[in-house]
Amino acid sequence: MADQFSTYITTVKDQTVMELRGRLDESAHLPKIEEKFNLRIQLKELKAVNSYGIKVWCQWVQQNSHVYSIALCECPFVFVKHFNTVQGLLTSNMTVLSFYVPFTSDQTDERKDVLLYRGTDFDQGTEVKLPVVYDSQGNQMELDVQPELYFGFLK
Amino acid sequence: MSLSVYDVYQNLWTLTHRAALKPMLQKVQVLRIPTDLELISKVDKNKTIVVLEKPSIYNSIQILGKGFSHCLAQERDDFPRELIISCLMILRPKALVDSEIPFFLMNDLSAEGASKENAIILSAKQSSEKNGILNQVGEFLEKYPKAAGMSDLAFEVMDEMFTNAFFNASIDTSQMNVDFKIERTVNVKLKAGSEIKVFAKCDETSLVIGCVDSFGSLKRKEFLEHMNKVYAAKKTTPQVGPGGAGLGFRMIVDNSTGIYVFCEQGKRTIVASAFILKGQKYNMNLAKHFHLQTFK
Repeated sequence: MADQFSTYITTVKDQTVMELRGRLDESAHLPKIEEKFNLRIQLKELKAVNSYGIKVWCQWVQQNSHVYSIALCECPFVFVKHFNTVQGLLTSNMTVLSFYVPFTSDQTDERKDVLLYRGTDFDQGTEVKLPVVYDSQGNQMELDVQPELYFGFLK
Repeated sequence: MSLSVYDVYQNLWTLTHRAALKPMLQKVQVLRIPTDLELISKVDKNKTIVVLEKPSIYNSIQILGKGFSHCLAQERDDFPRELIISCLMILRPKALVDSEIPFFLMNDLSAEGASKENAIILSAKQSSEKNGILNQVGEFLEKYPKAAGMSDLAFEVMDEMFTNAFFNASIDTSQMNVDFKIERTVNVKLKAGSEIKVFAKCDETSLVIGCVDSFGSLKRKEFLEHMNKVYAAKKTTPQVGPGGAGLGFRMIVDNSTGIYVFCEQGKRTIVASAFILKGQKYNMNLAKHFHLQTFK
């Protein structure tokens, strides 16, 4: 659980990808982006976010407002849940390309986080197309977020 | 004229239980808001439970700001249990003050001492111990399959409580918060004799996560002003400059179904969150019970 925060940056042609891993907390250091290029941030391995991590992220976003566009990929629940309560987490130069939606099963107590993709499952201003998800015993699982809040950032 | 808990809510219990509870329920007043709004300035705030008929966290903060300590959401299934807990806290504060972890946080209504079955209590003396504490709580929660889907919320709460205890609660002898403006990257080491305890209690239906510091530095007025500020707007902006983001307690409240804050001035502060093991959505959406009690 308590994975130390780390970042990995790779550049292929004109696409720079920054991967965030572990816990976005007081140990987190986000690198300054010098160029005005397009940036893709991979968040799949982000395990947890605390309030100080949110502050670190918001400060980093402000310091890098010159970045032309930031695409957020595979945003986990722990990150998306703050989009609608924290000012400055998601800014106008950011686009969420994909994010996880949690489902839960009363019968088996399982939880599954399902990845939704922009253009296929959601778009700005349109209703999210939710998949039908089953637990390991074939029971239909229930969406484990309040849609109007969790998907509020797409309005 | 205000009514007692018994007058208003006796039908919540069976005849047998009602008879047994009557002496206690008659001693505590209840104020239903908005029904009894005109009585709000006339009741003894120390002996009154406020029941919100249209609960919201913003309304709870306003009520607590008027000096009440127990603000309950009437619509919840556990409302009768929370009424009893609130009565016990009002009538038997010694049981609260004298126990290591208060009885009701351990799901034991006997008030004769807490059961530590299915519980974990850990202590820390420096803030760098946080990851180890979170790992141990994680191992504890793995024993409860129903808690698995809730672990993100629980860890977030535990993290914020732990950090608040080290960076906001710790005080020196002049009663100043010594670490409030220290960057969170610093490893805060408590003085000899001081420690932070975290605890978790889980059963088939509920989870309680909490933190106890040995300072008792929480200031009710400032705390409520802060809460009022963070809930006044739909979105909260992280604070700039040194220190924390100012978001931590909102995260604790948003994730929980019940919030318990008790401060024995100069001795200790207990902050605890209750969860019901019915998934994240249930916990985040349920109207919340909010207790804020301070003792001199």
